[in-house]
Amino acid sequence: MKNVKIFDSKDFPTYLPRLNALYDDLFTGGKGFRAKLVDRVTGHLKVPDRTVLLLQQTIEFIHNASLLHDDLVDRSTLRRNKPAAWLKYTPEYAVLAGDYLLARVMVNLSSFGNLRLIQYTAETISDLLEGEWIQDSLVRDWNITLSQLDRVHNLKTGSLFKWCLKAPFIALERNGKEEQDLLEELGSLLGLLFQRSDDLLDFDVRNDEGKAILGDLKSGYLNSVSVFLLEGVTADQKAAFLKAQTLSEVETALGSEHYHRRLKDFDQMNLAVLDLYTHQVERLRKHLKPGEEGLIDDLMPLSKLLYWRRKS
Amino acid sequence: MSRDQESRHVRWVTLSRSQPEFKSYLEGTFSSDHVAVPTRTLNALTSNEEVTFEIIPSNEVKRPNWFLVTLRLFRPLTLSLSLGPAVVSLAYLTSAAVPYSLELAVMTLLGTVLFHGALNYLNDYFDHVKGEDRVSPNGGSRAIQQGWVRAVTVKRVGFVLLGLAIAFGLPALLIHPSLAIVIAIMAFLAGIEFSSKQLGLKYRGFAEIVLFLLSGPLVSVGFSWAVAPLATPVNWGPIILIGTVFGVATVYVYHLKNIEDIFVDSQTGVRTLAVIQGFDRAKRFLWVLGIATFISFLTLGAATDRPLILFAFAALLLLNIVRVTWQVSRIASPLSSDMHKVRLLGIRLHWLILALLLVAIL
Repeated sequence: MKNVKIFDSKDFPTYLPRLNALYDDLFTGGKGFRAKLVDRVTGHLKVPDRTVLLLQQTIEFIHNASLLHDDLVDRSTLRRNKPAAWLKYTPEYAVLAGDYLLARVMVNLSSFGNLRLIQYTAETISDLLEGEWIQDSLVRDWNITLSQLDRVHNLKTGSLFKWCLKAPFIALERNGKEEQDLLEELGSLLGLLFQRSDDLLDFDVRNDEGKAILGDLKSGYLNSVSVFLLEGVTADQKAAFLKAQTLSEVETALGSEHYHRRLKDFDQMNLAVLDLYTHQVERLRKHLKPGEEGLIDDLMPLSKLLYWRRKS
Repeated sequence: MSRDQESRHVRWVTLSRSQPEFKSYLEGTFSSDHVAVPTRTLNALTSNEEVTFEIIPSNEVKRPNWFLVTLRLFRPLTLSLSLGPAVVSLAYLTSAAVPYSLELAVMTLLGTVLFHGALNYLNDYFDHVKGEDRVSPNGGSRAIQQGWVRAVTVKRVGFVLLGLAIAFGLPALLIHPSLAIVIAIMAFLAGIEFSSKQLGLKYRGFAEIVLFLLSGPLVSVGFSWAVAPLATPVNWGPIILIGTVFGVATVYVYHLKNIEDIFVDSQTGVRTLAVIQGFDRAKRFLWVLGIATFISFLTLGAATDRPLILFAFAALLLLNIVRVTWQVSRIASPLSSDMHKVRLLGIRLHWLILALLLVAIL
């Protein structure tokens, strides 16, 4: 996927230098994965360049607004190996900067004039916030199930993936229900796989980006891997797991054999989701126009890239 | 998609409802050695038009033995919701020395048990056909979704149970043709209940009122009418009150379930009272239903010849109502794992009412 320049200080008022400095920090170092996903989809649909940039900015602005707010809610001190915005610029600035990004999204989209796209984007932001809200209410819920977590993650993570796939079609006013439903399912599956893969980083699995170990557990949040690991363990094992501060303590709490077997089973479980994604991508073919079939080839490897954290 | 499904190597088939083979996949008749399990969806709006099935060789499905599957489909745990008013009415008739036909009583009770099973089987089947169980994680036994049993089998058993329930209820109707009035009222209310979505009645708490009548006073009155000769002088006050206690308690349990389902119902556009009220107000309304259950129990105590024992039991009931409702009021999110636990406590509360009333009246 090619790199895209999303942030440009000219996009924001020059008379607000601290805001620009904050955005400069925020947008530098991000993978811009969602913008690249938009690029993959638009590349085959003959979307005009200006529209592509608008879509990419929109999704990155929403995503980064959520990060600004999320870091404050979670009191996370680091973002992309730098001090989080709320810590460096004050919590008030972090909130305002996040709000401002969401406001810019609406300003930019309304200038574009596609009402359905504005409506859908507003729904996506609303889903994202609902997901954040519900997730926060599940902190210290030690009996949560994978099915419930999937539902939260579909709002919190899946909503943006769905947007990346659906928005380019909506921008071209291709609003057919069948194809939109299919893209929605594809986005959900990508979101699910991304989230589960992200949750594995907590247990230092394929953690090339050096994400903090057991961050979710220490914050009182059982992620999908934790829930999966805790299936079939005794109450004592569970209590010890919940107190663990290091991976070796996790391993001791659950027993080495159980821990490693369940991690393998977790991957095994997600192989079926990867398989289902492949099936659903293939179904998209019938909705594409001649010359757009390349989209299938571009979407096909995405799930594996996301889940196995491959570079390309 | 269930955990078991996810861990297997799979093959997928997507069909739209308009395709001729769709029904055979949905009902499980497309193959004798494979089952087709619809995949779960997290997106409410995508459940209907096309369905992706996971095709699994029958011998790879890990299913419990048939007895456990049957139990799960029959849902005996909620039997007190169906049977409670009839059993306690029978206890009242016995204690009040009202002459009644034991044969008719046994047959009608058996008919009620079979009807309970039929409703649950058919409910599972129709939720599967409509695709509602693809979206809702809490609905039904999930025996079809796990591939344990074919949908067509569930449908057939459901209709057989329904037929048997009617057969068991028929003698009472033949002996007391006037009973047809109660049955007609119940059928009418049930009909409105099912069509209330179109009429918009469900959105105004109408479903709760109908449920109250169908699981309370109409059952206790209908049952007593069925087993006692018409000429028998029956004090209908306590009978109606027995039905009232159970009716309100059933609405309490139903509202508890609706609070648990509030998130999915909101997504799918099902506007239950809990959805309209919102999570916090719905939790507060549960207090109203709990207090109404307690007051109706007290009133029944005052109307029978055993007020002291019923008042003593009322204190025990109140403690349990407060315990369950208090736990619900402290839950922060409808997706909390505690929600499912308190729903089970709600069902236990219903059983407790049944047990207390039986002990007090007998």
